[in-house]
Amino acid sequence: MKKENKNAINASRRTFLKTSAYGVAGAFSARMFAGPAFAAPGGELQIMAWEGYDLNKELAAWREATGVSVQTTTMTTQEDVHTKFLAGNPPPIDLAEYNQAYADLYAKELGIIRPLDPAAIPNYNAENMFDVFYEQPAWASEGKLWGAPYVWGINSILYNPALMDKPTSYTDLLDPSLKGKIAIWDETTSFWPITSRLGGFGEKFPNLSKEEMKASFAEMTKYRDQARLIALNMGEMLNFFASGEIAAVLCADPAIIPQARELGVDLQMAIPEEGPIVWVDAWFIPISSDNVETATAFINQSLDPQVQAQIAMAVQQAPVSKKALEFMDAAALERIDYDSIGQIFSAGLPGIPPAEGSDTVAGYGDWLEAWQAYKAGQ
Amino acid sequence: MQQRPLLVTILASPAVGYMLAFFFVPAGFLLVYSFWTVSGFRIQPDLSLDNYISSVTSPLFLSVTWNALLIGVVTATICVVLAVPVCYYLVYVAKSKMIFYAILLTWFSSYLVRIYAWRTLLGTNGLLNTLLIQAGIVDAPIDALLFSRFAVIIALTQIYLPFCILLVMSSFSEIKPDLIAASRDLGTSASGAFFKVIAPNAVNGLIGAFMLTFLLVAGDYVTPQMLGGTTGQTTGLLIADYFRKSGNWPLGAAQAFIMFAMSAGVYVVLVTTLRATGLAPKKLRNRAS
Amino acid sequence: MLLRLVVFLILLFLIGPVVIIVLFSFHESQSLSFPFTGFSLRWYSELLSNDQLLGAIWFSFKVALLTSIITMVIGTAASLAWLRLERRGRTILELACIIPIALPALFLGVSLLVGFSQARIQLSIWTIVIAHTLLTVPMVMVAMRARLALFDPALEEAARDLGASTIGTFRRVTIPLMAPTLVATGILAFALSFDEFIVTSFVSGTETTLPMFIWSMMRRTVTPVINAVSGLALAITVGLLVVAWLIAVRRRSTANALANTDLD
Repeated sequence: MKKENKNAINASRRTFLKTSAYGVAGAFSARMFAGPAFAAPGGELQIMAWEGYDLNKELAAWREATGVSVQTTTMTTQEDVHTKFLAGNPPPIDLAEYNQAYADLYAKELGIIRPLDPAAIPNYNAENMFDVFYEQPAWASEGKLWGAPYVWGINSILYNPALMDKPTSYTDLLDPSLKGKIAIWDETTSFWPITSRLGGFGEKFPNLSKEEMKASFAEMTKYRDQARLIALNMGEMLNFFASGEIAAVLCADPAIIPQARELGVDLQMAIPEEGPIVWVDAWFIPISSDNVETATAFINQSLDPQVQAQIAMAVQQAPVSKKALEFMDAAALERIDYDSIGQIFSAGLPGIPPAEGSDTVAGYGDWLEAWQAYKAGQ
Repeated sequence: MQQRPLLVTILASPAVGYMLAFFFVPAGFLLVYSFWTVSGFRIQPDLSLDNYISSVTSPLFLSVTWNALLIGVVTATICVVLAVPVCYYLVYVAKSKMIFYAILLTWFSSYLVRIYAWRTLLGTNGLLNTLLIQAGIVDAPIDALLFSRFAVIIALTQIYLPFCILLVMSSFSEIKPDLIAASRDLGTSASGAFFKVIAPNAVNGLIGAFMLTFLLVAGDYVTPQMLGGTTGQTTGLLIADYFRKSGNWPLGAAQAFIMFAMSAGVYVVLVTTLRATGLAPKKLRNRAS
Repeated sequence: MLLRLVVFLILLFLIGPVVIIVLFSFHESQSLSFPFTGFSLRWYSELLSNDQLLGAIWFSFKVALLTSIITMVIGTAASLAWLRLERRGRTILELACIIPIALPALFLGVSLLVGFSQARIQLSIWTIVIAHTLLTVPMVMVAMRARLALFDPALEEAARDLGASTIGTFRRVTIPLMAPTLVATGILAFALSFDEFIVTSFVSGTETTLPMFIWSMMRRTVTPVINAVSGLALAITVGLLVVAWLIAVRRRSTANALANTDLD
């Protein structure tokens, strides 16, 4: 009896260790032997996208038809994407999003993008896409197509008309009557370009010298002193608008406007004379992908005019497909003047500071440090 | 007790092996990284002290580290001070399991959501302001309740107090109730029994509870960030940013080790002070005891 | 009486925010601030219709379950070893097991990230479980120590004197005596893992845990859905605790019965 007991325990211990070891090994080998590509769309797709932007609802029929199962990792900042690739062991992400500002970093400096095959993405064509997205340098350069633009929008001043007049410049938010009643959004792709514009170096962004960068942040301290909060996220901003604690936010995503309406605040967007921040998110296939065919098919589906219209309406942003306009409702069409899209993009799209700074140009790390100091009240 | 070295080795090996593989070895890698350098997101092996030097000479690093230490020390002190009466009550007076479970239950409401609950409580229209106004203590709501060190400390206290209570309780449980009964029989009051019998015996446990709470609090960068406004930037956030945003892992690694050294410094200061004032016995067992 | 008042106030401070969370999970409007305008179940129904949120809850559940199982196996073995060690051995074992919580969670997160990266281990559910176990084993050791310090070695010796094998002693005496603490620490490990955010954000691969999902959901909007998630978690926890309590009560009576028949 003694022996039996001993064996029973040893055996269960061993099985446990074995199972867990097999579990780990299995997970790895499944990845290794999955091969670089499937012949037709199918299998599992690991995508990394903003919450709500992963086409979960919009592509339900496509997933059903092809048998593809999609697993989404939600990202909270653009940095979440490249962080995964900085380590020597990137997870097998098949598809991810990038903000246009990160184009050079991803494609050239980090080299984490696998170029797309335009022939496999029939919806990526001049007929379907607005000119500003088709074969433009942020997504197509050196004869390669790095990413497929997918959704875009405008970030600008959001304000509560019940509490203040429509601002015409960011400087209007410095009015003494708004002391403690504005918010700043903790989102570097919007805040950094605005910092350099208000510091008087907007033309030079993202290649400011360290002194110019410092001067610009010094200028922004006025806004920080004026602010009730530096909002980590838009949900936070919404709550402060709803409670009437803030009247305006320096530069934010108008996607919160409908939610604010639900809370009884008639939020409005104002385009200041210094200009808003235009952004475009694109899909790209990372080098870690083990299901390129399906990822490519997914991209193609995401550019389908009807899907484009649905997602644009769902996330309160704009489509890259001009054919999508006919499938959109009046409210969605009203948000942006699509006839003057060329003008909206004429000022160019903001970039990010170079990965490595030099004596004459402040690098990404310098900006990050200045931004941290700014948030710490220095 | 009879010794069975083989059996003991087998029993201890999963824990020790685990810690070796997933704590000591990675921490060793981290130490190596802290001497490397980075240029434009690319990490290069090196043997440089630059990361350490630039950290300790950076005003930003020093001020946020001071902030983290301050928040940590104040919160841990409050936690220990609050944990003592609760544990005394639970161990010697009521022995109520229900109260203990109720305390642990607060752990099961999501950490992030709890931070948000504090916003509901401390906001301009929050519960606390409403109460203050109704009680006639203030005329207008105090905006400064939220986005201040006060908000950070009160929320962190609520988050980490259950953990501190768990630690203090385990140190109280080690004191034999006979000791207290004996002192009470000799005519000592309840508070007298606490200061004469429990405190001296539990002092190591209390130091351990203080240190572990301090470490957890000082390393928490999410709560300060969400509730602290400009006082919400801590070393943890800087380190997280270096790892997640600029890809400067070596600098982040160096700062993690500096933070570790500073925490050890807090421990040394604490123990020295307690010994000098005679509150702690001269010889201490290991820190976790 | 003063003591009772103080304890009551501290309890109020601890539990108050949790009550607020649950209250607002039933709020009819999207607002998370006072005044409270009315009750509704809309956030619970929204929660149940959000596939991704449910997916994240399920994933976190799996992680927490694996973590608590591994933690209990490692923790039990280490506790049994602890009982058999001399003072110095105990100190070394304690130090090795407890030191990870003597460092900020962030430190563990970044060192594991660096370690996995060096070892080329791909980030997955297992890396999350490994990281969580690193946090929970020390907690279990801290909790167990208190229990073990009160453990009377005479019971084990008595069992052996009566002819029980080592394993038999474990099974019939040691384990039943440790069981309530074991179950409690298992539940604790589950809770810690289910809610862990800081370390997870460094070591997660392509899957999203519940706290990470809540964090990314907050980016767009903060609605009482997150409160509903907490409300649900609390309800499940209370359920689990009741079950665990019942098991503990039964175990204890079995252990007592055994002790009475075998040893007395």
